[in-house]
Amino acid sequence: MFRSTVVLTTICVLAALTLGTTYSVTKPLIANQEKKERRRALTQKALPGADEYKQRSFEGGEYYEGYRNGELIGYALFAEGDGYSGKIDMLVGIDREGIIKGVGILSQQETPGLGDKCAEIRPGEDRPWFLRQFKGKRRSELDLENIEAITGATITSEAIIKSVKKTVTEFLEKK
Amino acid sequence: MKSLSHEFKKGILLENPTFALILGLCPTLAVSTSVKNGLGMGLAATFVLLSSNIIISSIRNFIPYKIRIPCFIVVIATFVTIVELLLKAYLPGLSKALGIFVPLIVVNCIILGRAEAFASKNTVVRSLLDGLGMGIGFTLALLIISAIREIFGAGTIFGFTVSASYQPAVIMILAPGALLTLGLLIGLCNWLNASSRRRRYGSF
Amino acid sequence: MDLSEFMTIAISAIFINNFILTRFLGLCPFMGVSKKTKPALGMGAAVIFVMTISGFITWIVYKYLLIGFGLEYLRTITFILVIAVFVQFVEMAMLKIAPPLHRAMGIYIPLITTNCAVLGVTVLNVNMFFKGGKALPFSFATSIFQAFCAGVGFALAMLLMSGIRERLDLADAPEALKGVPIAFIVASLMSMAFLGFSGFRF
Repeated sequence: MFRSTVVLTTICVLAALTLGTTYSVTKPLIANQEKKERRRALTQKALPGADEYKQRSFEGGEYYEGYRNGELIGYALFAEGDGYSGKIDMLVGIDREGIIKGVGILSQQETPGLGDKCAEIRPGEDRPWFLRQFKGKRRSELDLENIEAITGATITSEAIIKSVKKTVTEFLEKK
Repeated sequence: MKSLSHEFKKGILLENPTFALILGLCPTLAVSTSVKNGLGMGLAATFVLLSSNIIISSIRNFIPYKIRIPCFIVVIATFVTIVELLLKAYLPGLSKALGIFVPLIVVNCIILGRAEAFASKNTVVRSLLDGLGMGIGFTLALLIISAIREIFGAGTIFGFTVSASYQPAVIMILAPGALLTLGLLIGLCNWLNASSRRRRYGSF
Repeated sequence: MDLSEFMTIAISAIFINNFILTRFLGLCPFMGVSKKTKPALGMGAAVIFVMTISGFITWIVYKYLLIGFGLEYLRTITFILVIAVFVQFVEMAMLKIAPPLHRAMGIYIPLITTNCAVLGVTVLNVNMFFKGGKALPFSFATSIFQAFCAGVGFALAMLLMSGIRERLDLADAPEALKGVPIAFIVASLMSMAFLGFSGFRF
């Protein structure tokens, strides 16, 4: 009994030490990856074309303003949708009138091969076909009639469309 | 005493964990939607299997029989967490693609099964070879299933389009396709085994 | 927070994202124990019980222990240990309190530890109901409820499968497909049927 406790405790302690070390080594790398991901979503997917981004906050949370040559060209907002298997985090870029400039997905855990096609890039293209449909749309056009859903992943598709619409609407009202 | 090369080779064909031992099914079906995912999962699981086999085999004489399962679990879970962290840090795309199945490697029956059935009773060298063989066998099974599902379900393999005019059968990427593919493949293995037995011993 | 969110969780966990037929969690017992209805029901009941209580314990552990000390990365190892210890307790308690119950269901209990579904639902709870290191509102209730529903979905799939397999034994399947292969093919048809739930919204 005593021996069992000692052995198990020793193993647990060694495990904890190993993991603690690995964690401290990888933690900065992981944080970096997330920052890079967010940066990429901002500059390439949601609000491309700006040379300067400023982070601001309002009652609904944080958002980014994009400037080109000193002139405000649009905003990037954080959106969160209720997907199949959890929250889908997105960055939605809009211009000053509220027309969508782009949508980038920050994180999702949708079903592989199904819902995760929301981030799928077809061969030969440079951005996800599903998200590309959002560009140039107004708020009133954000529904399943104007945006083709992902086959077999209606809930994922709807969640993204609804949350983009809600986020943009709330932001424009509060501004 | 079985030869060393036998310990390695058995995991690939004769005692293939997926097709012969029917272990580790959950990740096999869930991540085999594309060859890239299948390969990633196979390599991650092989790393865990190898590491845990080595460690468990080295400390096998110190572990009291009654608490062996919790001890195995702690060792395996440690390596799984290491893989989780390394993937998040260096291969975030793969980490996201494999999703919930990375932490689930810890309950992959293959790893606990080999720890209990082999590593806890054999030398480090044999356990290493066993782990390597089983891991490669698992990865191979994953690759075969993923290839079938990806080709028929998406028309691509590893992302490269196979034939432009082929209309993919999405159901192969979905859950039913996985179960169907696995069922037929196991049936195929049974048939191959039976016919090779017939050839060797003749029919009755 | 309204009732509809709970309904959505229930329908999602039991039908749309059935743990066995859609998420592929808990396949080993599904294949191994679903040959006859009585053991299938027993396994299902045991799983519902273990999943619900594990969901409860892991929520508390995650919120107060792991987040409290900044040790979220130890989630996997902590959860599986919690589950393993809890399952061990259940087995010992069963042996002491209800030996006939232990005789009937005892063998399933250790199998449940390595059941991907139990660890799966606890990890899923964390992914779905915790955001940025904080618990979402009502996450305690939704976590336990989701764990319970996942168990129900598991039991449902087991029950359906066992009914089919009892008849399958009498059918004249090709030799190579007898046993496991035909069970998988049947499961694929069941999974296809459950796909029909995908559009269902409450």
